[in-house]
Amino acid sequence: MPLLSAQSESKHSEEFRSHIKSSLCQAIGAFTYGENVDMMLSEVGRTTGRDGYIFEIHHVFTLNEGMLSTFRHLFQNDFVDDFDQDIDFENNLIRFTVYFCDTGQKNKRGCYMYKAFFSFNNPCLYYGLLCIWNPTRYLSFL
Amino acid sequence: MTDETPPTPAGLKALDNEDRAVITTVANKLQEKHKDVIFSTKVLPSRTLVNFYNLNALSIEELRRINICNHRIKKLEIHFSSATLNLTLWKKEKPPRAKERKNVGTNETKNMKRAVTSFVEKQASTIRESDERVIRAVLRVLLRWTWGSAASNVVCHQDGDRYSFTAKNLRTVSFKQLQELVELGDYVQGVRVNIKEKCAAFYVERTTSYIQENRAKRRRT
Repeated sequence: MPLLSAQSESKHSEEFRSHIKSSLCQAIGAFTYGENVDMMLSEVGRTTGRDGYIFEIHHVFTLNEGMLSTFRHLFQNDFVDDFDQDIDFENNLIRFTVYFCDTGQKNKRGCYMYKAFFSFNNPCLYYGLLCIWNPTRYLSFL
Repeated sequence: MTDETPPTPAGLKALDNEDRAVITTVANKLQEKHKDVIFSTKVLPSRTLVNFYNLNALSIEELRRINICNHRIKKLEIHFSSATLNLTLWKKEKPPRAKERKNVGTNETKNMKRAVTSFVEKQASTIRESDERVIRAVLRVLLRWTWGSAASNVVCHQDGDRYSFTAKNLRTVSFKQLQELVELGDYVQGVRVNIKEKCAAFYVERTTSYIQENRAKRRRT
């Protein structure tokens, strides 16, 4: 059945989806007690505009900041670009829209380049090279 | 003849007369086709929310009849997850607010175009070249319904001069959105929403002008 979406299903997004799902399941398991004993996770589907996925947590009757921050913490990943959180009080559910990065590697590559940029900009590196080249001249400054 | 008026249902007693009249009218209209329809109300300081349950399918004509019955009906939405028809009655006029023009970014427009193109390419065997423009317009409306939310599965079948569309996996659809689809032109017909199956279905007819043009071409050759 064709999906009317700007993003096609890729291998990476499928991996990210299953990873997020498993971590959300684990987190929900820790909070299923008291009034939230029937809490369950459901996958709504892919988003239309960006590469992402929508998850819903049903039967949430009591909500606290600890629970929300735990869920939010799960989305602070290399492969999660951004996420939205909606609380539907009428239907007792929390909806998370998770947007994935293009690829995990692209994100990491950017990170390495950032580190490399700062290490090459370090003046100590260039002073060290000068010291190796002509120690008598440049070590006299120290 | 008796002067006795029918007793007011207990649930309606909390409502003021105006709200009660609107809800009764809408409920009567719905009961003509859906016998088991029930409703719940929530009275808020600014508005009254009414949810109708036990509805199977609704056509655009039924929704239009509900919408025109009173000027205080501000929102008419179908929620597929809870299988309800939600009605919002404003008590007071909304305070005038400066209208904010929504600027759709170029990126979004590009993404929409890309999504529609990829769908049309996938359905190339079903969609005729002469009908592509109409189908693209219809798909753009469907995409706007679900933009920023879960993508819908769209099934398109061609049967002679008629394309039948079914949009599944919808979350909500409002009367305004359905109206937007109908306003595309006479091509779009038979818009109906199946609440139980969580889908919206409609037909797209090939216009008579297309058919006549094709016939004229055939005659010439």
